[in-house]
Amino acid sequence: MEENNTSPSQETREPQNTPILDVQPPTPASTPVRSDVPSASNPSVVAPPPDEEQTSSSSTTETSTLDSVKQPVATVPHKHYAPIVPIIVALIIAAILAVITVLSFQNTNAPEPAKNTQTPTQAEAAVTPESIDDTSAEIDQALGGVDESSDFPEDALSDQTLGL
Amino acid sequence: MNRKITALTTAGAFALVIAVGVPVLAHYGEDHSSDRVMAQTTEPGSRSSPEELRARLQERKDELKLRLSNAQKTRLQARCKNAQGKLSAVEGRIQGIETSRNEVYGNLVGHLTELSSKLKAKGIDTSQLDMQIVQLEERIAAFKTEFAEYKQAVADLAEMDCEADPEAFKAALEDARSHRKTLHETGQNIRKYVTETIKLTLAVLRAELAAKAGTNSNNDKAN
Repeated sequence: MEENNTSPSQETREPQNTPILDVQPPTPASTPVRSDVPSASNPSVVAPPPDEEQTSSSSTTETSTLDSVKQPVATVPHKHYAPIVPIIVALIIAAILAVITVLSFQNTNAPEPAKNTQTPTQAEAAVTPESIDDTSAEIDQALGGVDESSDFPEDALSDQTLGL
Repeated sequence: MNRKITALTTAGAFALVIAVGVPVLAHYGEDHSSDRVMAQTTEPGSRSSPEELRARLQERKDELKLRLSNAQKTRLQARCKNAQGKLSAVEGRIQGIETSRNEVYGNLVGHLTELSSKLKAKGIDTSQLDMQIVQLEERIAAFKTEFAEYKQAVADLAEMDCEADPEAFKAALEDARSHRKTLHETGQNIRKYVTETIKLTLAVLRAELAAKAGTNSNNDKAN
């Protein structure tokens, strides 16, 4: 059981957990790995676990086994992050569109602001008999601005006016 | 394998954008299209399709049941083109009249409603005034409906092929004259209602307000 815990695959994934091994720590993929180093100190390290032997048919030497194990260490994080980028962009765009939709619905459905912003107390203080006189004068002024006789004259559409 | 995952996630992301984006675009499309529909339905008097124009002209002919003699037709055919030039000028004036009337009537209702709110806050019974404001609004609505029909009749007169169908021209002219007369009367009725009914109510409310103000001041002095 102890030997299984120190298999090369676990050693490369969790190098800090293997201080007892007399094995060279994982090196970047570009660094060549010497096959004689682990085999001289601890042969059990270089021996791949039984299940790995079954799955990796191409690992014929110790060097190739270590390379195949170490390569994902450098490349896996990038490959995991790459697909997340378009998802994040899409979520941001979707969120913006959703906000625009909500705002537009709010604008179309928003009730018109009340014209009279005075509180009842203010309105009560403002109204006096003179207020009614003012309103009456404003009504007269408004009605004075229109004249039915000039807006809809009798001869507007007469045969004589139209030359018929 | 990773490429397949990337491709799938990218496709999913764009599908999400489309799923959200299409309703948004559709919403804006609906807004603008509804605006156009509103503009068409709320602006009678504007240029309409030939089919709609024909239908209105036929409807007026059927209503009035006009039968012109050949001499009358010939006379109209000879003179209606010049008349249409003058009708275009009338059409332009109608637009200005509509704007000023809407403004004046809007101000009337606005002043009265504001006063009613203030009086209510003061504890004055404004039920009579409120009822009269409603009646005023109904008269104004009737005026606006009549005005829209007048405007449409004049627009049809200016637009139609009067030489091809002088009877339809005569029917539209009679219709426009009828609406003009009704508008003149409706405008005068509104004026009369405001000056003879609503202003009387305002005078009563003024007296009531003055009495209440006097009572309050007396109470203040007594205290």
